[in-house]
Amino acid sequence: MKLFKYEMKKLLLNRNRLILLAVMFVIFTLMSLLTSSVVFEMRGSGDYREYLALVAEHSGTLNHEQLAESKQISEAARASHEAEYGKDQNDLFNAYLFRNPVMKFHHDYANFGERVHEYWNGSEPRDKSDIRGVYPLEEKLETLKYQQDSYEYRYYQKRLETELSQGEPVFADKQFWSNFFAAFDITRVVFLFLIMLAFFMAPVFTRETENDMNGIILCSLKGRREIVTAKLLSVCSTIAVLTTMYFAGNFIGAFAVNGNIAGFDAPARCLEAFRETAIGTTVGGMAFIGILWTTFAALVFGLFVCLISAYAKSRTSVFGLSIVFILTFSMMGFLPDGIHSMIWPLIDFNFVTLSLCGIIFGGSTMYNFLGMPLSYGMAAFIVCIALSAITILLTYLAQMKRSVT
Amino acid sequence: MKLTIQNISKNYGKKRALNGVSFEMENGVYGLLGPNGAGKSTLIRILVGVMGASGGEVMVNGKRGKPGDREYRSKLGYLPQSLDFYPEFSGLDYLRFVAALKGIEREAAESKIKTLAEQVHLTNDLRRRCVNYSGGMKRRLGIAQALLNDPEILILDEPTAGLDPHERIKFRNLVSIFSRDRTVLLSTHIVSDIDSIAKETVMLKDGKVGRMGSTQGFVDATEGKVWLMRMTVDELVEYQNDHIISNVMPMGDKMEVRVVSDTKPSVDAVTAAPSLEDAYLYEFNQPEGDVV
Repeated sequence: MKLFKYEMKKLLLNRNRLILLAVMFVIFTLMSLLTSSVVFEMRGSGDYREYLALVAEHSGTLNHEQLAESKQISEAARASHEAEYGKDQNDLFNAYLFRNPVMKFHHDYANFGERVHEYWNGSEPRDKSDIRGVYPLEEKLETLKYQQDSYEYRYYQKRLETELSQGEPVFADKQFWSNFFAAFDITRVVFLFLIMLAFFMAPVFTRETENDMNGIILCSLKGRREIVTAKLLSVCSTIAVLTTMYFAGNFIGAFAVNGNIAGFDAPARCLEAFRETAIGTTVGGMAFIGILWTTFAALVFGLFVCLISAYAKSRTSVFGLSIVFILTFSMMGFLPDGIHSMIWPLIDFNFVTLSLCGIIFGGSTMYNFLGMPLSYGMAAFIVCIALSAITILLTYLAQMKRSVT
Repeated sequence: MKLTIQNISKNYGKKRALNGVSFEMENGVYGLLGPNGAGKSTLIRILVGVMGASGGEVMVNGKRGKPGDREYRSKLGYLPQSLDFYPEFSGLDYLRFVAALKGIEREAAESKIKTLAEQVHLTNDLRRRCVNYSGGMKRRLGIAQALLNDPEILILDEPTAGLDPHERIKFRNLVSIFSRDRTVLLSTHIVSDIDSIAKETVMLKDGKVGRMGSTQGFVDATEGKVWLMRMTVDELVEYQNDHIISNVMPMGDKMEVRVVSDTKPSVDAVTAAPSLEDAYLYEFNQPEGDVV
């Protein structure tokens, strides 16, 4: 415990690091504030109150009459916009919607109607390799009814069960949460969160190499095993603090813009990134799960950086190597399907993908584990535990074998 | 406590840094003398277990053991040659951190830190950040950390580098008192550090033990080989190229030169009482084949 206290002082609880942490907190808050700022424009509009009233009035399951009206108004608006500005001007159209809140309501409701349609009928054109929608799933299971022991049958049966248990999508005001969930986007997770973690964790072992303390540490009674335990605990604690700051900044930024947390108790599927999630929870519940998961994935990544630090000579090389890993893994998502099918474990379970809760919990991906469909979330959890165990063991081993040259 | 070093060797690639080093140490101060590059720091790193040897072994009280073992580490105090500190730590933080590393209980650690801080004259500076310490203060802090656990084996690598004469004397006295019932190995190339306190001296040359014996024995072996003579500066420039000169002192328009030589260097040379420094120079200027 005493060693842990001093390791915390080295890693986080010192003046320079606390100043840096405060600066990062301001950056997180500003980033969230700026990306949510279109809401300000909408709030400045006279129609905003009417928009809120319409959303509140039509919250819940689909109203077909309202859908028909909203669809007609929305399509007319789009046609008019396209006639003026041309097609493929989605950004302009979205900006137009934020200046016209009532129009935005009709647009959102028309989209909601499409999602309800997709829930029952799947999306068009149908992807034969990945069947979606309640009716297509039932049709598929009908064709497989004589192969009930097959993995394929179990897979589609589980998918159908999930869809039925989740139920039809509902309409809700979730603007705050849409803004807050941008914190889980790959760009922010990679360029703000993971890189910051790598920077904070890089010196965990290398600073002793850099300042010649290794000689004294390694020949001390607790310099081979207990010091590693203290360092690992300090890494975990620091990551917990950094993750809290990251999400607190994002929450405050989004709240400052929206002024409410409406939609907290709406189903998680209301969120665009989680429209196919198999987790039956609310938007607020999903935010909680997302924060917990990101903290957990960050711990795994932090332990990996710690391992690099245990073998490297300087913090610059640890940070540089971490950046290389982060960028390489980030770009793996853009590889063509042919390559993806060859190295899918590396793409699906690398540190960057594991940090993205929208990918892990937002879809319906499953893996064939001994003939049983295993959800992406469960598979990712198992991989994280395995990676943590391996990195921790290798870190202890590095300190046991370490020598001064 | 008896520490036996048996046939230790260390290779860096093709370069042999240590070549079959063997000697024994019991309670008392042992000096490890040798020029830069002789292998002193390598030997010390092997002895404290922060570097593996290519061959040989270290025995504690006749028992074979690895220097990295917990029991051995619990008996060890070590001051490395180069020492730096955490910028965010005060001197007190640093000593408390090392006490925690050494597994010393809080109360015992506080009491020991207080005593050692007084002994190394850092009491008034303990709460300052140690990166702001002078070179001498850093060294004294390093000495204090090495003594925190009352080590049975104390290994000091160039401990007096950066200390002023007063601090060096204080340090020597501290080590001398400490060594009564403990083993102290003090590596240095500053002969005066061990001149008066080392029970025995190990002379390391090119990775081998050149000679080991009592410090007084080394001095006695140089008896009759130290000479004082006078010459002009011009003569000295020429003379120093092929003679061992341990000291030069201006005397009027001439220089009094202290020469270490087997034979009388000139007719007007007179013998002088040898010092360990003379013995060191004599030992390390012998041709390779003469090393025992």
